[in-house]
Amino acid sequence: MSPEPEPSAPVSLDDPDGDQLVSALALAGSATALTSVVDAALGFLAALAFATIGGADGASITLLRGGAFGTVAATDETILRMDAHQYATGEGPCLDASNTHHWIQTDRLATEGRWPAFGPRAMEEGISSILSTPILGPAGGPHGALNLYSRCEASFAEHQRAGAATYAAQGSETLALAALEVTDDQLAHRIAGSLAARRTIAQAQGVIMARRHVPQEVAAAMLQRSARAGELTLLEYATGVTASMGNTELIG
Amino acid sequence: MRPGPWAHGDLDVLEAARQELGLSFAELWLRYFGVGGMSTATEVEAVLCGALVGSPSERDTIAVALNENFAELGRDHPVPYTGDEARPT
Repeated sequence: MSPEPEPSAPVSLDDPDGDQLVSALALAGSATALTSVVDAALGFLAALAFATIGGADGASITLLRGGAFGTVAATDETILRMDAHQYATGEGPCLDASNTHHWIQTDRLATEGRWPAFGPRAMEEGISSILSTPILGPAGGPHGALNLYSRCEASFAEHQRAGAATYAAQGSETLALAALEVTDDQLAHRIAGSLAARRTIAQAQGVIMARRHVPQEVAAAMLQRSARAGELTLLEYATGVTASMGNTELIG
Repeated sequence: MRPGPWAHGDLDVLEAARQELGLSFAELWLRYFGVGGMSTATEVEAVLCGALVGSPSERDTIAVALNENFAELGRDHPVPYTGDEARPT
């Protein structure tokens, strides 16, 4: 492993589909530092989790790097403070999930007894339930948790836990992949390239879902078939879809 | 290995393509992630090794990642998709 980099400012994800994410990804696309790219990738996963899992009022990614916890992505300032309260008090679900490698959930912070210092601060922020899912890392390397926060009690059930586990597992893969060739700038570019491509394809799938009122899996299949029929790569076709918002003729 | 409808001999056609391209599982997963794949690298590896039977959409997404790599090398798209007629690779 290379020396741990200085913590960077967390990526803000106020609007997972909006300009801030575009800016974050643009930054990732131009970054040569693998850490920045990995953080952008994790931020993208947090945005996807927040946008697709449901039940959450905010999401964040916590990483333990160089012995210190930090937030690499948060959907808004309240969520950023929620993470910070846990770092300051040394307790809370995101720390427990990071340290135990097990998912941690609280359905009602008002009666929660596990975190006597953090609990009241969370209540003051208006948060009532939390789901933290571990993001595993390579031995000795960074690891952490994907955190979902809700203002309502008991917001997270089996569906949300399964969805969070999927995105957290992808975060684990990203960290493992980065550890393989941590000094390789080409790897950073490849991750950034895949990240940017995935975002474009996700946008195109969103366009198809909205136009055709179909679920994501069906939209993905339609996109793949249309790209093949047009003898284009998936990214080329998806770029055309996103560039032609409103052109309903494109998806056949 | 439990052969699926895409199996080719004793080797899954996706795994055969990965080996032909000389892609590591990590490299394949990165490409798969880039085209919208939702599974982990471990799960993708398990599908290719026959430990898991991927859903049709899952296998199609892996096929897209492989075929686009073939295309970059100036090759045709040899990995069949769900519903394609079986054809030799």
